[in-house]
Amino acid sequence: MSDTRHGMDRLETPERVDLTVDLAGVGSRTLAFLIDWLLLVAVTVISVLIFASTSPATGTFAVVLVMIVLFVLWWFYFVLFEMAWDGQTPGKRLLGLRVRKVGGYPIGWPEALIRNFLRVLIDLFLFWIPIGLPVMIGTRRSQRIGDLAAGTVVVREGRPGMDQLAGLGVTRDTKTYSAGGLDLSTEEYELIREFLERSPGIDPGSGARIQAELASLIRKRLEARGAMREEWRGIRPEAFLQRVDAFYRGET
Amino acid sequence: MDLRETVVRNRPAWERLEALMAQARSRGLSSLEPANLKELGLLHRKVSADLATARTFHGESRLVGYLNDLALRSHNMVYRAPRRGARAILTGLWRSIPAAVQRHRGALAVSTGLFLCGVILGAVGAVLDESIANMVLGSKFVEGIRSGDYLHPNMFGLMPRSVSSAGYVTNNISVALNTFAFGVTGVIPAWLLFLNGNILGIVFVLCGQYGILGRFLAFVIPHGIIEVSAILLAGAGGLTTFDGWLHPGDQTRSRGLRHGAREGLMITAGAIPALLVAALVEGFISPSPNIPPAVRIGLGIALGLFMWAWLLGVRPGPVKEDPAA
Repeated sequence: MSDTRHGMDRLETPERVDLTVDLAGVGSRTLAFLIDWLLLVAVTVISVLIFASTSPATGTFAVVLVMIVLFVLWWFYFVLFEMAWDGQTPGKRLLGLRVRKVGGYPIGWPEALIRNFLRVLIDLFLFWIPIGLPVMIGTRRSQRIGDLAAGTVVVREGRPGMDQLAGLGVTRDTKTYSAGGLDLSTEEYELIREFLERSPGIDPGSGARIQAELASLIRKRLEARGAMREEWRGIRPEAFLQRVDAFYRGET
Repeated sequence: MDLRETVVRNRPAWERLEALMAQARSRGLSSLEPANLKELGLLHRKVSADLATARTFHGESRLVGYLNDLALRSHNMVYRAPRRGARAILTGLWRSIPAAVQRHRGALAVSTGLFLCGVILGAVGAVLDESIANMVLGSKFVEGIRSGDYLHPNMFGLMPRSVSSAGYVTNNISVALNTFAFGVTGVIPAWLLFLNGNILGIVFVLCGQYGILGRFLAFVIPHGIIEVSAILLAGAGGLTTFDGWLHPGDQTRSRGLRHGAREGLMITAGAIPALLVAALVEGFISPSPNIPPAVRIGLGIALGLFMWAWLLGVRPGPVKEDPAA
């Protein structure tokens, strides 16, 4: 656990494989909190308005009800959502965040209660200073004081592009790869693939330069390994990279 | 090992796992057949192994990213905290709250000491200097005691009892939770304990000076004993959190804080049922002129005895057989 990179947390599993978890940053967590907080304020305003419009006859019951609803709402909104939605609140769900124990396991009642009881009084308003923010920036796992006391981290779910097999580019074909005789390392293949995917977004001048550099690098390596095919010689860099990519995936 | 070979060979298994997880997510884990559930566990192990292999042969690649993400998702599905019913949680608390209180008798003693210091200093101060009462309680409150309006039967007619009772519950539980939350700082719960004791001490003296001590006791004792006990518990909970990181022993400070907060939360939890009962008594029984004072006071003492018998008397867990006996 000690060689954790910043923004990542390591999780040792019973299968003895380390999983890495992306930690949520201060920005997205603040935004998630603001969303939840707006929701709380909205529900409070609505219930007070409903209460104000009730007739005096139902008054006593309504007062008691509103008092209890608001009490539960302001003390337990985060707690109850994090328990019901496995570490998420509406704001966190919107931003793809989730509360986990340090080490990645789902939180229970003690964690939810401790981290959220300390949220407002300590992390947000201790001596009227939002002390949780500097603490979050300073700690290795971006934890505020409530997280430190509860032993929790907030993780980011689903890295973009990582959640789909299609991102690997390798398709169904099972035959051609072994017959190809093409020696391309995983790094080289993924470099080509990444460039081809992102090239529409790169400005044309730099795109052409990177493309030429990448193509000549790959050419040199293929030549050195004796894996250069005749039909790839003398073609333009773009066409060359596309054909190497297609060949690797068994599409030609 | 070739990336393509790895992907092509294992793809059916990964897709199968994705499909099982998609079903569990949309229709619940219980919608899976027993055989599928077993398959989910096996596939999770396989993906973990695939990830380890991929890390060796393919370094920091997309394949590793994908497998890490997949294994993480299946890990979260396979390993989750067992759900306990409300009944199991409550019977668990019945034993674990007293156990936590008994483990931290020291914090409870400090909390009680701070409160008593407040009471004594408040009482002595109020006897020596009348302006202290104005300073701590506000002149309006003091005037109420002087003129006899305070605790006059008319005072309790203003609000329906259910409303005042709900007010006491929400207010007192908030105070208890605040005391626990501020516990990390150490000084704030200590100050809150002292201040609460201080107020009580001054009010005692003032009521004595203006001849309404009897009425005050008859009003305050039915709910007051368990309410003060709850304050002491919440204070002890806060101080336990503080002590956790101040004296972490041979753990790191952050581990000490974590442990202290858990114990403190458990101790504070003992205050909640007491405050619920106290608020009902304070709303409905304490101000009631129809119930004779002796009965009300007797009820208050009985509630206090019951509460402390529970906190200090309940043995944590079944008694283990002594092998020497």
